[in-house]
Amino acid sequence: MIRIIIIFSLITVSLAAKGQEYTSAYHIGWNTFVPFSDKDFIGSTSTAGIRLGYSKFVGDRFGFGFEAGYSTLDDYIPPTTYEHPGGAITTDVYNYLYYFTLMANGQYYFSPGKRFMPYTSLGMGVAFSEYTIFYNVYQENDHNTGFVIRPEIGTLFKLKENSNFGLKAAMGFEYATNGSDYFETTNLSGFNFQLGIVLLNR
Amino acid sequence: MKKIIGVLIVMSIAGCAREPEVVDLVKYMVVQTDYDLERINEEANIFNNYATFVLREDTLGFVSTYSTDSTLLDQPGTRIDFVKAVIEKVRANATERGFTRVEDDENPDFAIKLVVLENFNFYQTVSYPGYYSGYYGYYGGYYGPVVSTHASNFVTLVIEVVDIKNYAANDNRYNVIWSAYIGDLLTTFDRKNKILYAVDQAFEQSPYFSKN
Repeated sequence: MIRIIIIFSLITVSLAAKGQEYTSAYHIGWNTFVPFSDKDFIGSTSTAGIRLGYSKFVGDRFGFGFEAGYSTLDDYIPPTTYEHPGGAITTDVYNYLYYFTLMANGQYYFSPGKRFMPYTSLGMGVAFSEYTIFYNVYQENDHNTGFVIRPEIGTLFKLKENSNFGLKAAMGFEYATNGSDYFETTNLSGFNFQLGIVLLNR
Repeated sequence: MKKIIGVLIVMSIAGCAREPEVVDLVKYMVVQTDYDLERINEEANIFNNYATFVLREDTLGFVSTYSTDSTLLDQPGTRIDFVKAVIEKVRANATERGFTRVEDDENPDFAIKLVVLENFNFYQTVSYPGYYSGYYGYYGGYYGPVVSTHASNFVTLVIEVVDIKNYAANDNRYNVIWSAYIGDLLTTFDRKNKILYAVDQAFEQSPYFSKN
C-alpha cells in the first residue's frame, strides 16, 4: 500500500511538474531609450516607447520569438541663427525621431522554471526611422530603413510560483544602421531599458 | 482581459506617436534671409554703393490664392493691424544701417518691397525668373517670384531689396539683392509684436546690409 501511495505521489508530482512548464510567452513593456549617437539631432532620453513580443520556448533553456518596438525621441533647440553661404535662418527647432523595429530574437534562460528567470537574448531585424524637424508651422522629414541588432539581458519574474502572469525587466544595447543624409546623422544607437508584463502559456 | 490589453496597447502606441504642441511651435517666427552672393561677398558689397531707398507708405503687397486683393491696409480691430508698423520698422532698420528714404521720383538706389504671401509654400518652391518687368516688381502688376501653390495655409511676409541703381547695367533687369521671409503670420498669437521682432531679427542676421 505504501509503495502504491509513493508511486502515485511520484506520478502526480511528475505530472504537476510537467504542467508547470511553459511553452510560450507574450510580453508588453514600457521602453526607455538613451541615445548614444548623433546627439546633435537628439540627445535626450526618451520614455515614450513600447515593446511587444512573443517567445516560443524550446527545451529547458532556449526560446525564440519576435518583437516589435516603437519609440519617439525628441529634443528642443531654442532659437538659433544658422548661417549658410548666401543666407541665414533663425528659428527654434523641435527634432523628432520616430523609431520602429521588428526583430527576430533568441533567448537563453539561466534558471528556467524558477520565479526569477534571468535571461540573455540577441535580436536582429529591420528598423524604420523617420527623422522630422518641426519649426513653426513648417516641417521636414526623412524616412529610412536599416538593419538593427540588439543584445539584451533581463529577467522574468513570476508573481506566484505557478502563475501565468509575471513581470519583465530588461536592458540592452541597440545599434541600427539607420542614418539620415538629409539631417546628417550616421546611425542610431543607444541603451534601452524595458519594464513590462509577461503572460506565460503552458 | 484581452480587450483591456488591446486597449492598453493602442493607447501606448498612440502615446508614443506624439508631436510638439502648436502653441509651442508658433512661439517664435521663422526668419530666413538670403543675399546675392555675386554682389555681396568678401571682396565687394553692393550696399556700399547705395545711399537712398524707396519704400511704400502705408500698404503691403498681397498675393493670395484665396483673394484677388493686391494690397493690405491696416484694419484696426482685426488681425491685420501690423501694416504701418512693419513699414516703419523696416524703414527704421534701413535708416539705422546708413540709408536715406526718398520719394519715388528722387532716383532711389534701391527699393524695399514688402509683400505678404498667403497660401504659398514659399520656403519650398520659390524660384525667381531673374528679372522684373515692372518698376519694383509687383507694383507694376508683376510679382517677381514664381512660386508653386501648395495645399497649406501658410502666410509669409517677404521683404526684398531690389537693385534700381544698376538697372541699365544689368540689361534692364531689377535684381533682387536681399530677401527676408518671415512666417507663419497666420498661426500665431501676439502677431504684431512677433512680426516686428522678426523684422528686427532679419536685419540683425544680415550685418552686410549696411553702408560701409
